[in-house]
Amino acid sequence: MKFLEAHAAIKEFSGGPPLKFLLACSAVTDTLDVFVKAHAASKGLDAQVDTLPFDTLGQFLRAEPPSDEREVFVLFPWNLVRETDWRTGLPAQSSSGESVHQAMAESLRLLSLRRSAGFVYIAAPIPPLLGTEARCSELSDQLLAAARGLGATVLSPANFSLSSYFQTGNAFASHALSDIAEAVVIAAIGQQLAPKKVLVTDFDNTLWAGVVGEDGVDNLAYSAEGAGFPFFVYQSLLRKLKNEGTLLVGVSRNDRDLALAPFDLDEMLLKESDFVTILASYHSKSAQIAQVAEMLNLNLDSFVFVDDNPVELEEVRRALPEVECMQFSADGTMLPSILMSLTQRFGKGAHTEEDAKRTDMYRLRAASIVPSEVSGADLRTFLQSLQMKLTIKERSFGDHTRCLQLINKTNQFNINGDRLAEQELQTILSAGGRLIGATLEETGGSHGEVVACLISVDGTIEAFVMSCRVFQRRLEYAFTAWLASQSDAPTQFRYGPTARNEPVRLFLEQIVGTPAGGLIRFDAKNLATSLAPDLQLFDVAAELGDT
Amino acid sequence: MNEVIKQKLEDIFRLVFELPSDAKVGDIQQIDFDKWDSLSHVSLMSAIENEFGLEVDIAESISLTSFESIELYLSRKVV
Repeated sequence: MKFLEAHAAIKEFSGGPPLKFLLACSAVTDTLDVFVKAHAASKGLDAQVDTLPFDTLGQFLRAEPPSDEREVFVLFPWNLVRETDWRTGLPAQSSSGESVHQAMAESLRLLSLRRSAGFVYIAAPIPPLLGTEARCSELSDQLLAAARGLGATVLSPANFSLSSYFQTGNAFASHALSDIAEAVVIAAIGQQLAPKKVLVTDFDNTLWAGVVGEDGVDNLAYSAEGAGFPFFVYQSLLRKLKNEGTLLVGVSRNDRDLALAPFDLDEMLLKESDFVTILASYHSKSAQIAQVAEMLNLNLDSFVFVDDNPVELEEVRRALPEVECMQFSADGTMLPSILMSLTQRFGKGAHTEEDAKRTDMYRLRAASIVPSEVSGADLRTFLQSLQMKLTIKERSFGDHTRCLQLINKTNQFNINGDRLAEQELQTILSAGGRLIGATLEETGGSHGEVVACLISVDGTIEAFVMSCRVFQRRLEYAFTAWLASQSDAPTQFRYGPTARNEPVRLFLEQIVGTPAGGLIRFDAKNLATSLAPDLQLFDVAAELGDT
Repeated sequence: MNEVIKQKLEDIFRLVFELPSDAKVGDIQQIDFDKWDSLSHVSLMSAIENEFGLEVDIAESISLTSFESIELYLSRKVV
């Protein structure tokens, strides 16, 4: 959640039960306020937060604790050992280990007296207080262990900004304000005390590297080597959690046989039988998750949803605010904290024989789940925040390698599944046809060329494909709106249902009604009007003419 | 400048300085705008960093003292 979205969330909030607490932090917390209110609002709560003056946490801890006020402590290493505060500089000589440990013990004693408190610990780096790097590293580990001992939610060093702490006393990294605020709100509510029960995981680029619908089952990576290593480790964690009682659910935007194909190879660490259920369809993930919760008779606040795609995560967040959503990344700097966060939510100190059998018990209940057709959350405001830039490119001349590759590789969003040889393409273009491609960029980076559209001289859309990597962004609607607004707009689609192109059937159903195979009229005037809101989600540039 | 980015910057100014949603902000400069003090400057920089995914270093922050200068800065920094 970013700044403007947080303000929008507060503005849309119509009120709810109060969430009153004291935010006890030694750093300046002003920049956190709006995000705390927004996250509380997303949970239907009206955050009413008191704060401490800058750098008075030490005195506050020594005073008599308020008897009835919930407290949330946001701690840094220097709140456990004062000497690790960057703003005091380093002492004239290396500190003795004994004095440091005495200070830590006293801080922990005072904090443990706050019986109704929630804790968040930001594992900021510490200055080289002790004599050697090894001793400093050991101290960092001890501070982290101490925070865990308090039951703190631990946030990575990336949540800390040393430059900001120096300049203004605000120790929070600007990009992390939403994550920190979310942890604070959860600590205030007390949800961190209850372990989660159901881990819902996406498949493409989460359980394995690659997109099974585009790359094919033989080109995925999930083994303990190369690109597959992060996914192998993620699967190993899920297997461990399942053996200790966590219920695994798979959710994938795919045809079911495609989603299951990697399991059929029997080469992955995780097996289909490790999952309570696997749901694969083109309907919203929030609807599928809601159905699972109902079928298994489990509350949504016991669910965690893991996906690499921020659009899917936002859809679930909006439709099902009780579900905790976590973005997966195979990046080596982020993977450890993701796996640790999952362990915090699901990990148990001890597990029983019943825990190991829990999946089998629930598989029976889940056997009769049918994919839901309920539509998902409205993502428009989120999609606007992605600052999507659509660049339309004339590919009738010059290099059209990527377009032809898209047409011949894409199965799911493919208007008729027809494959096209180079010679056939040249024949259509020589007769006056057009080949158009489109690239997509957004705040997260560039997706490259993701749309290809071939229009014959008589105005028939002979090929229209879109990469499944950019589903859920309304891109197919926006591109169609752009085509409709051109002076030489197409006149008809050539649609052919295939075993794989259900996403196209759903798209055509929305824009022209229930499609039959064959030629479908392209009503440019109507489409330009009805799909205009989708086009407005994009900053559109057109690079037309000879290339 | 990208219109989406400019609109966001205008919204940020209105929210940080608690101005009406239709307030004109394009001419605002710290030197003659009472609401723009050191505390609100910190809030403004934090909001801009968060919204646009940037890190504004101290030297740059000191020079960002008007809507116009920030607009120019963002046109260079934001893709």
